[in-house]
Amino acid sequence: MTALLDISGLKVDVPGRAGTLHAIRGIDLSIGAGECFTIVGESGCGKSLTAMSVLGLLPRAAILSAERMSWKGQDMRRFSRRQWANLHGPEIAAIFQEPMTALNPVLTVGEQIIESFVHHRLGNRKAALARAGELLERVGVVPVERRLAQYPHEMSGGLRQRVMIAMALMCQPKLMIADEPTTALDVTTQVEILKLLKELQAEMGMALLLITHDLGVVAHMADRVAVMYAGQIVETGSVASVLTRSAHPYTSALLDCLPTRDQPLTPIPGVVPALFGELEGCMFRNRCRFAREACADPVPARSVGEGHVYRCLLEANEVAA
Amino acid sequence: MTRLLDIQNVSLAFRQRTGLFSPPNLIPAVRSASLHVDAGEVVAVVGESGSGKSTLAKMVLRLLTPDTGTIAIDGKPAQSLGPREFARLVQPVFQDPYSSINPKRTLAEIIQTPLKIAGGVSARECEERARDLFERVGLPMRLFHSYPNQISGGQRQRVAIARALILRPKLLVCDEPTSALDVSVQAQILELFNELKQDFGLTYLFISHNLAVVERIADRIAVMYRGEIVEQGATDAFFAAPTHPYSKMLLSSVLPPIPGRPLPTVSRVFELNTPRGSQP
Ligand SMILES: Nc1ncnc2c1ncn2[C@@H]1O[C@H](COP(=O)(O)OP(=O)(O)OP(=O)(O)O)[C@@H](O)[C@H]1O
Ligand code: SF4
Ligand SMILES: [Mg+2]
Repeated sequence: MTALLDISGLKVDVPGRAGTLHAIRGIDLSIGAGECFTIVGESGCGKSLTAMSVLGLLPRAAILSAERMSWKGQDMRRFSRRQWANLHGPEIAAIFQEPMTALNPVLTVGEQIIESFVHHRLGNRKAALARAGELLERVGVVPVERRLAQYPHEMSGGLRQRVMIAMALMCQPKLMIADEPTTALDVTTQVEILKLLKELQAEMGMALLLITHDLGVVAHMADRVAVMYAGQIVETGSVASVLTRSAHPYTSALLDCLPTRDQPLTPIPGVVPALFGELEGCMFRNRCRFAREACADPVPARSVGEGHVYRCLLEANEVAA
Repeated sequence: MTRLLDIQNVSLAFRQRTGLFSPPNLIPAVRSASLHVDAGEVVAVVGESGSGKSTLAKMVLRLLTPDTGTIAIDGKPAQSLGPREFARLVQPVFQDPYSSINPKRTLAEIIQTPLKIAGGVSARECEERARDLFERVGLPMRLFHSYPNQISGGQRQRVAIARALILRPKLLVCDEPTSALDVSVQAQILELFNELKQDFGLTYLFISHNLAVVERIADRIAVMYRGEIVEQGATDAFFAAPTHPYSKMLLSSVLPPIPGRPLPTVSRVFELNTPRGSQP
């Protein structure tokens, strides 16, 4: 199976007054048709900038470089504005944490939802409205007629996210990028939205790049997962392998600081390092209980079989011990 | 055991103006809620957004006045307490460490403010107490004279906690104190709450939408749904056998980080034994 999206050595630098921020420091990513790939990590680790890189929507100041970055074999690094515009909708669509910022407050839901369909000339207004109706019905935004005429602020957060999903589906994308789509929602609504995404993925054979800070969401949604820390992927592989046989101390520490009934909390001490200047060695070493001198030198990636890769000096079974 | 907080049949409705001449809409935010917290206890209030949790907390903090019902603190009606007396009994910790502390003051100043307002201690003792607390909540002393924008979100929440503790209050009202934080930092702050409880003999009213969080910290749990407390009970009993359908749904919506399980089935169709308010 060839990957839809194939990226290697992606770097994003953001120059600023305090110096250049090395926000993404060489990540590899490939997503196949129909799979659910999740990126998990804490605030500021570079999840959203990764998504924005794939969408060609990085902030102006940001500088992207990559050894390879391709969409269905085409080199994305050389995309013109027009090629990016053609990509958004029929190929890649995105939904975000706070739908209110992505929706236009002065346009009705109906007007917004048909926009990209009409723009990509997939049909006339009537056809667009018919498809919008079907999709709204499918995602549970009913009664459709009334909802089409409403403004975004007249809906609850959960409904707005459903509208965003319907909107993203209008042109039948091959890949949906969802950046923290349920973080602002109640747990019960979160489950409903995740379920919907999973069903739609199966129905439409669509790949999903799901970005979250929640390992519970990862466990329930992902085929494969990448754990990010300080602009790098520190561990990646199938969700079963990564979550049940974590080889990287950060992954296992993240799991340990989730509150559970029977075990005491084990917080990770310290804070995420600032990503300025020369960054050598493992960036987790100021918080890692296994850290040793050699961790300050460049740390190679190791494999624990079947696409499960981690970046740490330890043997795969040392963390669990 | 002393009843530190006693909330009896408290209701509050917000008035929403729809037009210049039309009568205001009444939106019931809290409906005859009763809840008590004994000294040394941790009581968590959970529920979805808009269920009335924060409104309840704000009434306890006297930031809102109930339409009906009574709130007593340490045996006295909350309204009868003077501002200083109240501040020595009850202190808040809010969700957003970014907006709840003044960006133009140093951390040292922020922490000392409540004590300075309350008066009765020398400037020197005031600073000493602030330094002690600074260390106690796990902040490095070199940051004492820094500004809020120079520290992380978790550190700001530590500052907010130190500020809340400087008057040595009996009750901390914590409204989603960890929900703006990363999981690793959330765990640090929850542990800190646990330790401080022992050290300072604190009592908490702890508001959260996250059942997994309160499970670690609460002795008792109260579930709010559409302005009402629909269920309350000891944490163990609650997690073992929640009775209200909404509680069950809330509990089943928690996603453990264990792969290979299907998403839970949540069904929103369930009955409440009381009439519902207006639905959004
Ligand atoms: N527009 C921007 N200008 C400058 N720096 C930015 C910009 N956007 C992000 N950054 C920085 O890049 C780094 C990675 O940010 P990113 O938004 O990708 O993190 P994230 O993993 O999505 O975090 P969160 O969980 O908080 O959403 C951070 O240090 C952030 O401060
Ligand atoms: S490389 Fe060293 S510091 Fe980094 S995670 Fe492994 S043991 Fe810890
Ligand atoms: Mg983000």
